[in-house]
Amino acid sequence: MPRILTVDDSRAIRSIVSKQVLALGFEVDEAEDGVQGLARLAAQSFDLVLLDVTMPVLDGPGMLAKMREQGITTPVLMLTSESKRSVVTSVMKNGIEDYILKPFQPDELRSKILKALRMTTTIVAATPIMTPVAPPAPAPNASPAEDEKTIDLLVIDDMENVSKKLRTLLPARVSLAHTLTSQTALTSCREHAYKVILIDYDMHDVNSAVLMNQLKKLQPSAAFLVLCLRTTNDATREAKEKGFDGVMFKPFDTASIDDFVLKYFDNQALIDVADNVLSIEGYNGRDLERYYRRIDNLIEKCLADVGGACYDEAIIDVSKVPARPDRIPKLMMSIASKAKEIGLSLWLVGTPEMRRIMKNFTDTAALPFFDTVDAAKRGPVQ
Amino acid sequence: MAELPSSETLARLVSNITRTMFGMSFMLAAQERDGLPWLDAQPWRTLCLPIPGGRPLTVLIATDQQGALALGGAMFSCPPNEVDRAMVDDALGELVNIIAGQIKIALGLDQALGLPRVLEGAAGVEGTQAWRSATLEGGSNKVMVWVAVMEHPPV
Repeated sequence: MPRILTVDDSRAIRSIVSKQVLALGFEVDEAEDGVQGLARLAAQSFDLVLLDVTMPVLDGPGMLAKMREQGITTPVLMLTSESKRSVVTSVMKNGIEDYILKPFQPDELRSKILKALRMTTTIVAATPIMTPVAPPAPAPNASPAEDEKTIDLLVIDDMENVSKKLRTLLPARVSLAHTLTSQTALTSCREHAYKVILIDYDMHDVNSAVLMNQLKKLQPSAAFLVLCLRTTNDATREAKEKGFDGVMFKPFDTASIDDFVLKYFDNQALIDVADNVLSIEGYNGRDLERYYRRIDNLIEKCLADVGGACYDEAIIDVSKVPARPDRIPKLMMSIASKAKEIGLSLWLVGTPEMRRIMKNFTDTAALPFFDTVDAAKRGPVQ
Repeated sequence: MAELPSSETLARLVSNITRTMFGMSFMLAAQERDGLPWLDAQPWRTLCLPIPGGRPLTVLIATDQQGALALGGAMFSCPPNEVDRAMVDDALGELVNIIAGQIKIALGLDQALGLPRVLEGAAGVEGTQAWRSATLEGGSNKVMVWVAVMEHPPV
């Protein structure tokens, strides 16, 4: 059972947090300042720390810094009224999961706690932390084509931890380079081509908009996004006015990263349409539920294309789709319903596991199912 | 430089906080008075929180006894008659902290919040060069709460 430590000088806030943690079925312990918090952490291990910023004796940033100095890597959620940039920046430098500004709704707190716990597990279990990829130095005998190979993403931020964190959240197929200064960014952009460039809004002595305009001359086809804190007022509007293509907020969250990857790097269509065969690509993201929702959203247009071409049936190849018994029948029912509205019959192609799941569910048991696309094209055996 | 928030803005801001945290709404009292109403009314409890820096401010919250117990009870999820003085100070201290955080964001200030403290009489309010306040009533018992933000000359 996860054990959570709440560190806040307000008994009222500790009481509210404890109630929410207990409601989740987790264990909770309390400390009223950073010194007490460190003592609790020394006495036993916790899965998550909820940490206030402004506290007497030892404040939240001070406690966090000491935790990291002592090698305590417990994930931390900041829960505070404080939005001063230097404070937010300093705690981010020491690695936090999220920064929650008070007031917060109990539901919001519960979901952030769950997310932080899940995120940590995912990072450890699924994606080893990778060293940020430095811009590769040209090899002495490398061909120009290799030198000029396009790198997906350049992160320009004076805090190295930003790209380390981003690396843990991005799919491995997205290549990433990182520079700490505007000067090295300019050098790197002269040597390499980038698809997307992220520029920190708060770099010391750097005007992000000026730097973007300089880099745009070197990278005219790259997309430029500004990296900023959620506390920045009207960040999206300001970024657009300054000529950025968008905003990415720190600390990162998986949903935004998924959207980012989808928008800039997922050029491959999720559903490939060839005649009346719709082949659904496999899952390679971090949010399976989102993947299923995308299929459900995209399939309607694909079915319409098949119907528009006067086919009587649509063959859906789901061989690469994860066979989740709790999700597949629902998805297939939704697809069958959409096909029926268009007047199409639905024939499915998939793995034996998928067939078993479909046959075990009353509403999908009757759908024609085939082992291969070729078999489906030949149609049901009479 | 952004102007201090109006009474209406203060009322909205406080009500948003209390509604979000524990479902209690506040609105401007029908008779908003000039002057320093929380001093005239001799509130039961007053807490203030400094925001030092380039534009020094103090944020203040004051209540009558009924209001203090109602707010304390709401924050600790217990009946008002179980709320003691320490719980009142804790609840009001946290509220003024959150209010100050929101005012800071509204004014676009990049200054750190101080720690809340109990205010006796007018101590700590002297030397105010500008201020805005709001007299609020809310909850099922129409409890009274005064909120103010005061600007001091830069140090």
